[in-house]
Amino acid sequence: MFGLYESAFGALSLGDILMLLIGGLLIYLGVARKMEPLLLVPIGFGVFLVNLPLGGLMEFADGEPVGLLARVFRGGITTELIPAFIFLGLGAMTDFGPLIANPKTMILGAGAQFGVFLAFFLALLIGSAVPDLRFGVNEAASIGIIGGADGPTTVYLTNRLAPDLIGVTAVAAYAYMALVPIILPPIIRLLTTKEERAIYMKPQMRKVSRTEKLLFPILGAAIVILLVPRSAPLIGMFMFGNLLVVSGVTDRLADTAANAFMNVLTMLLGLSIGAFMSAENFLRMESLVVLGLGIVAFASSTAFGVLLAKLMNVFIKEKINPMIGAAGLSAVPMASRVVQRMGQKANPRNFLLMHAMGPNIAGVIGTATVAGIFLGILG
Amino acid sequence: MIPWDIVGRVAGGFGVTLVVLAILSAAIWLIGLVIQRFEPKGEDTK
Repeated sequence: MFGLYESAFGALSLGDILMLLIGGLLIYLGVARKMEPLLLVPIGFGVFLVNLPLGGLMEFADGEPVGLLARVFRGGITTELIPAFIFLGLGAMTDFGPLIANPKTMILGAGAQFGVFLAFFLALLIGSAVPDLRFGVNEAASIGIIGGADGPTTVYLTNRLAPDLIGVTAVAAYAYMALVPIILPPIIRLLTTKEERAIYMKPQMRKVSRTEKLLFPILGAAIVILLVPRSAPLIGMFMFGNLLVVSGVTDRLADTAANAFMNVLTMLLGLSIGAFMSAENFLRMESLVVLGLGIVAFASSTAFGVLLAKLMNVFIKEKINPMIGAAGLSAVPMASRVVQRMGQKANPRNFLLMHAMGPNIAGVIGTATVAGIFLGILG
Repeated sequence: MIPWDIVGRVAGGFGVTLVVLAILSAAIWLIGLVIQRFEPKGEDTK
């Protein structure tokens, strides 16, 4: 500036300007449309900051982080600490009661992982047809996991398997989670009849005892981790967070995990993921393909969850409303709220929120399990 | 070139996911049955 001081105006490229607009769009969606604001606002601002040139926020020197957000990224994301500890906070915020009261809905949470595997396969097919994209098995798994609708798991897995894609896969996962109220309803309507959507489910679920709630995180961790050992970081933290709540004797820790701890991690995760999305990292053909496959993964997970619920109805006496299958995505509690709204519209007597929470929470366990399976095969 | 052996193993992973959650579901159901039978009425159920 004036030949004396450094100024970044001259260094602004068209790509930077486009990314500034994208960052602004994410902030707009979070603030004005209230779509996942706790994530889209930090991610959007991270995108904004990193695309103001010469700021050095994501600067690395000889492979070592020098910039502020580079250090947060290296210290929190590359080390996998932030995604794992976010799962701790999530566990502290989760009530497993609806799942324990109706454990068969756990199958719906597993079924809704179908989209992950479909997108994995499609990504491989596209990668082999278009070699320039360089989509191998690791990249395909990182793209597929978007279908689980779980941001921390997406970040965790992509960091391990395909770190170059971490920005676009994380943004895809969080953006599509925010769009759940738009994505789910047409798919549910397409796959169900009016009568099916109106299937009444008794609002009164059986009471779940404190002992059951206490045993669930301990047993759940043991069973899942023994069967899928590589799911230990995510499942372990998830169950630990929940144990802090249900034990009744660690209220201070539970309160911190669910509130202050979670808030700090959310800010750091959002900022550092957004900061990874510089113009050269994001404005590539791969990003468009990832975003496209991400929506396919999301949609097919939703569809399979609904279809699985309909299949279950063939075998069980007390029918379940097939819409709760769509809540098998990990987008807690948004997917459940969408099902609740659609359920009330189809049958004003219906109160499906608690019934949908079962598969919704099971979806979190399911996606973390899938990540563990991917790591066991590919990691 | 698609590594079909890995694709096959990953595809099997979907079945593994279903099995894992089915086992967990069965374990919870069983424990719930036992606890409801043996736990005294009026136990804290919040």
